[in-house]
Amino acid sequence: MTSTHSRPPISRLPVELLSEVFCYMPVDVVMLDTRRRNTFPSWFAVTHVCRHWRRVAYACPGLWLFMPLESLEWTNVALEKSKPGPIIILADTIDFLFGKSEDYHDWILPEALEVAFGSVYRAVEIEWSAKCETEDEQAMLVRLLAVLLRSAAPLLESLNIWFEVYEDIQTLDIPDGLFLNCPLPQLQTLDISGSIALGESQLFRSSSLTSLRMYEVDVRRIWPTTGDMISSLRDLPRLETLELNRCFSSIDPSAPAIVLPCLTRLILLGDFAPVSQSMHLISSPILRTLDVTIRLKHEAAPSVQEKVETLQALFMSRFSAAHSARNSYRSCQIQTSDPYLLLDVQIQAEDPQVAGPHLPTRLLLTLSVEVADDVDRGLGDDPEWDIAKEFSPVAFKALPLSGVRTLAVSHDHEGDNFDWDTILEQWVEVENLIVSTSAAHSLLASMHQAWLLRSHSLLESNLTSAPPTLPLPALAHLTIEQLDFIANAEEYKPSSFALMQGVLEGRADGDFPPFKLVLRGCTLTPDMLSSLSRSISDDMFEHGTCEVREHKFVDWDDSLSSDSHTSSAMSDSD
Amino acid sequence: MPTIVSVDDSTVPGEGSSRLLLLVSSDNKHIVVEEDIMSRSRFISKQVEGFEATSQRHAILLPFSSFVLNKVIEYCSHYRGYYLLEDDPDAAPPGRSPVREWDQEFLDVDRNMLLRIIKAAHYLEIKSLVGSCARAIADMIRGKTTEEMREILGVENDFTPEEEHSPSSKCTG
Repeated sequence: MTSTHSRPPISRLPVELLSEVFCYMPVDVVMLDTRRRNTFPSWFAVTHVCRHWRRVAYACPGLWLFMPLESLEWTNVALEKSKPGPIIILADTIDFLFGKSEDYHDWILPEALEVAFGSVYRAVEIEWSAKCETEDEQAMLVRLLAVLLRSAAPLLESLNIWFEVYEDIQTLDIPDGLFLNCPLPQLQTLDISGSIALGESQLFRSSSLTSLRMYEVDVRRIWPTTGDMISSLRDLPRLETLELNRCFSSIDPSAPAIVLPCLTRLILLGDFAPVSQSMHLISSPILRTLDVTIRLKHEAAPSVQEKVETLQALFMSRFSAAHSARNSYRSCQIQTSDPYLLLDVQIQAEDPQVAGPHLPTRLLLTLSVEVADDVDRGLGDDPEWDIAKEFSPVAFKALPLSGVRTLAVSHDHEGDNFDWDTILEQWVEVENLIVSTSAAHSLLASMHQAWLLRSHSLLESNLTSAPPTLPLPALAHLTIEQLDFIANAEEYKPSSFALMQGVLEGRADGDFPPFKLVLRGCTLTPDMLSSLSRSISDDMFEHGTCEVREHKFVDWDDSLSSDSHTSSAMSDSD
Repeated sequence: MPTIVSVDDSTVPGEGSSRLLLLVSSDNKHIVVEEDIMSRSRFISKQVEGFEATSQRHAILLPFSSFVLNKVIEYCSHYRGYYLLEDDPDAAPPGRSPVREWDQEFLDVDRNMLLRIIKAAHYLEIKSLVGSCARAIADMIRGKTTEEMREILGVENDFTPEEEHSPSSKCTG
């Protein structure tokens, strides 16, 4: 036996500290290196370092918390060593199979999972994702589900089931009476996704549930109507997050309304009728997020507008009466057009106290168009650009926006293609403009371009017509959110920073109104910040929530030469 | 156990809005620190409760160097006034505490220093710092082979060949 003082420093740590180190070993279990072809869970290597470590490891339940599923032997070892403590079963059999043998998929994993599920009475967390492409795979899932029918799960805090069931397979049934139909008193999070039909169980009667998410689940066996489903939510008084995504039953006009006292986040996606009914029936005194997406097909603009107005009215009835707090938040999303295109229009609103009866004070529009990869619509090399151009006027016309003074725009997908000219032409009354990420870049480019055009036409002294007007004549506040000016400068020429400097020059010349510039959550270099501080007075510039960090631009000189318009300001800061 | 010695009032700066403590490191460096900063340490808090009973001012002798002590004070100063889940007696079990970016940078030190900090944090009963150090050590060796682990942390292989190669479930240590 090695004496304490002859051991190296790591082994001289008190046993409880070494044990705590071991508890952190399997933290990234889901990121296990799948290139490893052996069946040895990497975090169990500590048991083979030396005798002292092995003793400590065997007495450390935290090391055995996560069930290894790469070999039945190790599953059994972990089950044994973790006794009587809790276990976590993370079985991602979709992505995790990369680089694994067919034997692993067909035999090893199902056996290991069956053994692990046999101890589900100790499970605090189960995450199980599986695909079901063949009848054999279907049979395997049915067999494993049967194990979950045989045992109670009194410790279970989180259950996440995600089955990818392919079209050739009939809908997979989750049998009635999971977990021996015993109560699940600890269950807080329940996520169920996939083309599956849910059976009766105690899952939806766990009064401890705080988060319930269901995606594409056939719930008709449990709840024949959408009203039944919503009524059953009365049993979940602690629910904080509710997400129902394409899992509605038929409409029941006489369904009673319910109040969920803890609900802060409600997300609904589906056809217009069940979604609007759900919005109508569910309310909460502290709701902070309402995110609604309806799916429409081949509908003309008037029909879209009618539905938008219906949803807007529902927003107002849900929020205006119950909410006086600032930062209340509403969101509406509409998916429209044909099966190959998804057009999202998102509306958020803040501060309903200030809002008029039908006009939120802040609107956020997100326009995104997705095209299925396998569809050739003859749109050339850049289909998304064309489609955005084609559909954006429809989206904007569908929204009653006249009189809007505060406008917030984010655009996550194709920021460069955002049609700012259309927006700015329509909303000349905008005083507060809030833009984020890629939308900020394209806005600055549009403003800068308009200013350059105007400057050039003014320089030509023989003007025969009035110089072009600049956008945003009423602008008082320009807020740019979440824009990484450093990364942007590495990627774009001219960069957002250079464009912003140009716009500020226009402001200094009196072409743009004297708006206040607010940078929120942006990232800049100290040089950029000091350069901005010289361009705009302190009382008209806020940047408190920005990250300022040093960065060496590799191609800085090139950047300066291409950004000739702002080269002096940049050089000053360099 | 630490030694607690009485000190003259002149040793400790006058009382301000937050009381001051005198910490004495193993290399006999005297470090004055606000009690508020060190309240994250259950060990220090218990010592202070003892002081209140005697209404005397005290110095707390600690069995680690001023270099290590200053690192711990830096950590406590950074999180002064913050609630950290792991320092809560009802906190999540070991191995489940969150990753904090600042902690990762703070603990970007050599192996021996990291081991000294975790021992000091353990002594001072600062659970959050113990957890962050444990995570940092685990990060050093996670995904490594047993040989690599031995090399990184300087551990000697004392298994017999039979023990080392025996199947997992038969290894009794």
